[in-house]
Amino acid sequence: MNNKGKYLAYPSLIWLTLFFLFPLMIIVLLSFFQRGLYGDIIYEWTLANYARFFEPLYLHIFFDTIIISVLTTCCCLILGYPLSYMISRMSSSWQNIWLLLVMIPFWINFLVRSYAWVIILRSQGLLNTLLLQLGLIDQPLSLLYNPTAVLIGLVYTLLPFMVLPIYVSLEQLDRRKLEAAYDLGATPSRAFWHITVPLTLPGIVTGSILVFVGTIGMFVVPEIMGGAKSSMLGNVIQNQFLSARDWPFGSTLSIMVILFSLILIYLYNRAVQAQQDERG
Amino acid sequence: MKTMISLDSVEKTFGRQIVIPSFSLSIYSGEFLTLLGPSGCGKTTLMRMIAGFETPSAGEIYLDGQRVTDVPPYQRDMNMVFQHYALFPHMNVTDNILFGLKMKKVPAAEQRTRLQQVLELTQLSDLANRRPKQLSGGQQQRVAIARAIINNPKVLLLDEPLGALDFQLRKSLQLELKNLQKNLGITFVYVTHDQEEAMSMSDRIAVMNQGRIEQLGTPEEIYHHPHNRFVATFVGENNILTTKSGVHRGRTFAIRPEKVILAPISGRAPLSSPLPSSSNPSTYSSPLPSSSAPSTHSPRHTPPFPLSPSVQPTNTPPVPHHHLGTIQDISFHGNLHKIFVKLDGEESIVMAHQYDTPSFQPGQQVTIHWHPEDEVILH
Repeated sequence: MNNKGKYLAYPSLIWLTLFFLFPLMIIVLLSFFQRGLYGDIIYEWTLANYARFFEPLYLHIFFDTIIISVLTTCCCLILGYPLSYMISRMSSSWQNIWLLLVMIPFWINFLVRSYAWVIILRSQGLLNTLLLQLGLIDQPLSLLYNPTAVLIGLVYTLLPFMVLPIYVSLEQLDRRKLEAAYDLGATPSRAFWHITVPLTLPGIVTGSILVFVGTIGMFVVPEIMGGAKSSMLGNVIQNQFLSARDWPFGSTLSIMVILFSLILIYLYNRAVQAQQDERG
Repeated sequence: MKTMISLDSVEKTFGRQIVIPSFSLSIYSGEFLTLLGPSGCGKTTLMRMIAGFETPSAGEIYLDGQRVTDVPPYQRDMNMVFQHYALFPHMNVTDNILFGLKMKKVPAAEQRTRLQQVLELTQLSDLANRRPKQLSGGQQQRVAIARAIINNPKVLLLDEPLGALDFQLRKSLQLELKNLQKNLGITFVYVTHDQEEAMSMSDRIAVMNQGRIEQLGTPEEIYHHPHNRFVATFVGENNILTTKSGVHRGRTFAIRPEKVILAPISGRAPLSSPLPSSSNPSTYSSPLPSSSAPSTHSPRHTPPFPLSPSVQPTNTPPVPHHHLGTIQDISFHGNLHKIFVKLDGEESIVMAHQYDTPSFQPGQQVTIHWHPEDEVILH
């Protein structure tokens, strides 16, 4: 690269340093301090916050969060792959329309979208009213404020992050490789499992990482659709900062989420690297 | 001879565009048939219909007596070698080659023995654990061929398989392919736009243009007796001339550059253009056609080899078809010089091949003639 070109990166580097790296360092420091009696911060080094993370209450929430993240990732993959596959087979004008439809929710406020789900799922909501009118049920189903509702909301929110990377890798797939497989006696379904899936694995892994990491830190969806009962790690962090006014412990939880995500991304990179090495 | 593939009035249209008008062709069992034509002539579409990747808009395709027009590719007993190999990047050489047998659920023991045979046949034994990306173009091509022939198909379809390789490698793989075809006895259908490649390998050539066969015949027939102007100019180099006077006035004929005899205007004995008798043109049957003479710059426009020895000029009786001309240009092609002569009082420029060092200069006046039996009348 041209030496002068690096100056072009300075504005964004300064921005990120000031508003991302610097606050992140504050969070790291805070996680080693103590909470004062009235929510103030006592600047004394301690590891007590990290010890508290390993208390059963928080470990339980941590594992619940991981389970719901895994479920969300699986649902997004099962729903997203066929959708990506369908889009990648369309003519290019239809592809653009469908990709637009996938991305339109991004343009609408996240809170508004989540409340829209509340309107659909609540006991006097659209779905229950429809089912009651049709006589399919006698009592309204409790569709909201339970883990299923959280899962529905999470899958809805994060599905585009699965669809887009898989779509890209399907687009890059060389159709002649599929023809070669058919020519060698592979039925369409066997060609799919032996050729299409392995060759689109990078897209599958990228999409899964994006959805998984996105779910782990999520707090809006469980807050709005999960009610008081279900809480994920993101809600606990939010509570520590806003309600409990325990900034040091909130920081510790945040650091743990970041560490867990970084480990996952590291493992992903290593897997992709190994695969590329194998391919030469 | 037994017919292996039969195309019966096959047609293909994409939208309103007719790619292949009604097309019929019989391909015999065990023969090496080449579909030769310029790009866009429909040869690849035709091959894709034979393979089953395209369905004909009309007509029927038979493989070994069975109607296969609507049979999907994975149920046709034929295999294809793709233009860009289409190897599976996530599998090593062994898994690529075994893919077909695994799909057909051939027992593991048989898979192993057939793998060994094919690896030896294609000289890939040392590369069995490599990934496609770790192989050179020629090696990848060998894997593509091995992956196809391990299935013992009735027919092997080859879609410009050597197109992406450099000249020297192409030459040696041409020979390997030809030998492979002889040894295996499999019917080969070969698609290429390279007329030299077609000549040196094929039993029969179908010269195609705009979705039709212009001429079907052995390489010798195609070269020496082209039916029409397209074949005459597409296969090898040719001079196309029109008779200006006499009973055959207006008749178009072709005369190969190596048959054109030039002589200086001073009245010396005419020099012959063909090869000296010492290097006789039996190179056709020798295993290394390219090694006997330095390669030419432009194989596309050069006849691969003179196919018949010609008369020595010393005994040539005075012949008609004499013209006067002026040498416009001489170009050097290694084993020959191409001499371009403008006929006096005409527009035509005639090309002559001269295999020994020419004693001509550009601008020089020459007499130009050929034996009438070397003229090929075009229809």
